[in-house]
Amino acid sequence: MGKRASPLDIYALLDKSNCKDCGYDTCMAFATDILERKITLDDCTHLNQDPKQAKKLAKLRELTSPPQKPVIIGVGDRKCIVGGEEVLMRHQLTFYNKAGIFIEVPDDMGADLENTIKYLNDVKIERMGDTLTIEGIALRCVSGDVETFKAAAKKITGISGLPIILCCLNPDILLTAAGEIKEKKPLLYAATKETWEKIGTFAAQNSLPVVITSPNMDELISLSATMQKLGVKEIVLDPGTFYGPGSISKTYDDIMRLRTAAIDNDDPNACWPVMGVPASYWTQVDTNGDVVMHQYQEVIMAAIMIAIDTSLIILHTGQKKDEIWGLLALMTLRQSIFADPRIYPTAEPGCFKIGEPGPDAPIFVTSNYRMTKIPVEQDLQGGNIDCWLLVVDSEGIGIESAVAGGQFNGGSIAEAVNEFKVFEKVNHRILIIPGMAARISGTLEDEANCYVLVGPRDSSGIPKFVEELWTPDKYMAEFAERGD
Amino acid sequence: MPFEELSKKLAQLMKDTQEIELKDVDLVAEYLEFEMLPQMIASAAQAMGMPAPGVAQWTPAKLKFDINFPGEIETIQFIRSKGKTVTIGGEKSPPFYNFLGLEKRNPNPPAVTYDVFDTIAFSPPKPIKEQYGDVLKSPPEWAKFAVDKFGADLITFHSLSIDPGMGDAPVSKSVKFLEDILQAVNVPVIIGCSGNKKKDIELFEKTAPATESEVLMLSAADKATWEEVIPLAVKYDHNCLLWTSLDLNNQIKMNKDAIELGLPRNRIVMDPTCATLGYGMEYSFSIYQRMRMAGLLGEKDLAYPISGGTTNAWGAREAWMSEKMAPEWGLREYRGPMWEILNALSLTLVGLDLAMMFHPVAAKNVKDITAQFFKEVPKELNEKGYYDWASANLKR
Repeated sequence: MGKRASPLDIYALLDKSNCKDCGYDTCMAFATDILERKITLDDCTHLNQDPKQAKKLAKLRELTSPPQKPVIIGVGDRKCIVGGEEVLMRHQLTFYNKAGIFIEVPDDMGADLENTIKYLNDVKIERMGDTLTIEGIALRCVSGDVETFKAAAKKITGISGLPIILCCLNPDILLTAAGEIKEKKPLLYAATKETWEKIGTFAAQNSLPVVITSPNMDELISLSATMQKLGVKEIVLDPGTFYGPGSISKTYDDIMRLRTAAIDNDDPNACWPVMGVPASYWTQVDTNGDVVMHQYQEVIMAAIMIAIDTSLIILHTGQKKDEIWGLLALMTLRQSIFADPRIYPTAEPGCFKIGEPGPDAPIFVTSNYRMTKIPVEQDLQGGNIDCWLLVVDSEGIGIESAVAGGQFNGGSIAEAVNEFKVFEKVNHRILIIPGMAARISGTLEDEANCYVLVGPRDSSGIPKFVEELWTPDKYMAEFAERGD
Repeated sequence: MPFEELSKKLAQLMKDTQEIELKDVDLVAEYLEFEMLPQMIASAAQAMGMPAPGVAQWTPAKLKFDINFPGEIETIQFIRSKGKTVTIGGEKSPPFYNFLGLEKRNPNPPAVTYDVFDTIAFSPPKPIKEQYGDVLKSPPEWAKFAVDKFGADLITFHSLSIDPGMGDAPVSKSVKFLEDILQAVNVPVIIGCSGNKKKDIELFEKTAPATESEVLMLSAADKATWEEVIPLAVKYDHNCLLWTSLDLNNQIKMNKDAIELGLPRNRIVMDPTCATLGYGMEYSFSIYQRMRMAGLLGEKDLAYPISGGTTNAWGAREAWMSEKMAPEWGLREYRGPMWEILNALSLTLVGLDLAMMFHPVAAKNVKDITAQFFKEVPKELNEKGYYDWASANLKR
């Protein structure tokens, strides 16, 4: 890992007045959160208004700028920031900017274009409190016609705020369309060893981000040096996405080499976001036979890229509504890889009221892992079940692992029962535990002096379970018999 | 001359100038700051509303970086005395790195072991039932089907029903099943347990000697059973899976304990717990990655292969729930196996050497794609095929 600045390095360059203008009590606290990227240097008025501090400000900007520079595509609410990473592996700090998922759209769709864009603009999946969406559209020049390409670009920006990548290897067509929508800050795909001067000059003059591409890494790096010299301020690196035995190694190696050079070795030319094009599967491989099998190969490549923090990917699969399974899998993987490892997703333990539980309402027990608690709670609410939800401190671990690891056991549940005075809320002593925890029933009955009912393995089965099996009087009668 | 005017004039003079050479100049100063000059030009250029200076000139550069991994992961073998051998581990580089030189290339692709259970009372997801059909009722037939039909190189036989909570079946029944499986297939078999301490110890006490002529794996020794299970692996020469619960330090401790009990280094496989995609997979991901990097950087106590139960993917409702219940997720037939693939595949990228898998299509995809990383890079890349994507009609 490159030499990352410490809070003290930052603090040394602040004026140390502890003026509190930024809202922090001390300059040291400010320095710490600067490094955590919770705030920016612009939040210190002294640094920015006092000309004497200009040099220190410049030094601070250098110290705090990530080794891989960020690139912004698009404008407005949905603008997409890619790259800007500080580390190679998420556990070293966190990944900041999730891989941008762009879906390709050809310019020759005719009347279908509008519906496709509307679908892509709105497609979303609600998952664990996050709204998962795609980041943009990669408009491809399939028509070969400048007017068609330009019109499609205008049409898209007219109906959607999604950022656009304009994809055309003919620089004249590319730049004509780019000129038409330049205020939307499209990403230009792509400048090569042949076309860099024309595209680079246009991008520098119009402050647009550009993809540079070459399958030869030294040539790609030379292109980067060349474009920077030309005054291009935002660059995305495309080393090429190659499929097949051995070729996939090249794809993977090149992404890793570029990221390693940028982040661990401060390479001044590799210091840009890296992109991949899983969609290129369809022009590289014979795609006869079952189309889903081929979609699988594309989604798998995309998943590999997301898992290694590739900054941006372009997909073919996912453009249509019936391909949502692919986006679901990829966006969930992305949600997972880009979760901040410094924050453990625990839920507060406690006994929570769902709906209006009466004295014979059921009590469901679950773990305090956030990804367990949220769906259980949603299923109970969604099923309109008046009940209590007892969230047990399982050290933030999910049911299956916590049962095996012993964090969700008779003892820890009994403790929670006492702590939250659970049985004072109802007129019975019945706990419903998840099906995955069936094996702890015996010890829990002893430890908490209660009747344990084993619920469904997944909380989606709770409504049916309650309807068919919730007969507290019967269980309490059984419980009383045992006591005799 | 006022500063602004001066800098404008200077900027005009300096336009298109890359370098200034001073000749026959005496500089008399107490303090001289050379970085003044470029700053002045930049500010002057800005004052005149010019775009940032740009020069169109091809600038050759080379991609350079410096990384080094001195460590090596242990090589572990599963050996059928009269059948097949599977080898995992032996890595000298992070997973799938091919650019550190041929001698650093990893020797073995990740292995996939196919799950076989002694009971299906837990009701396997429908997409899996459809693949196996009637053989699910007989563990030996199930194992044989996995090998013959799906090309399994390894089988894991899980004895779930010995758990008092799952039927309390006698251990003798598991021993019989295991012997029949070993008869039916010639690939190595991993002996999986139930999670009940007492019964699991009994299971390994009976199965380890019964399979003494083979090198299999006892799966697993955990914090409740390790003192009993590890000595059985030592005595009957089996591999032993050391299972801990998402805690790096506990894993180091158990690895050390195993060595102290006499388990050879080349019989140790680690399982720091494989969490499910969408439900905490990232914890496994980062723990695997930390363990593997530590091992490669020379931490001997973590330089062992990693195994994970990626079958857990089927615990995610995104994998098993029917499209009738969740129409917004698309067809289960597609998302189910994909869930297991992504769970396993992303972990192989951070060190998973042995994936315990359930759906044969998912298993095949993981094997195929990881094997592709171990082939030579073709000399001639089809570059055009790549760049065609920008303009071609793509099939759907």
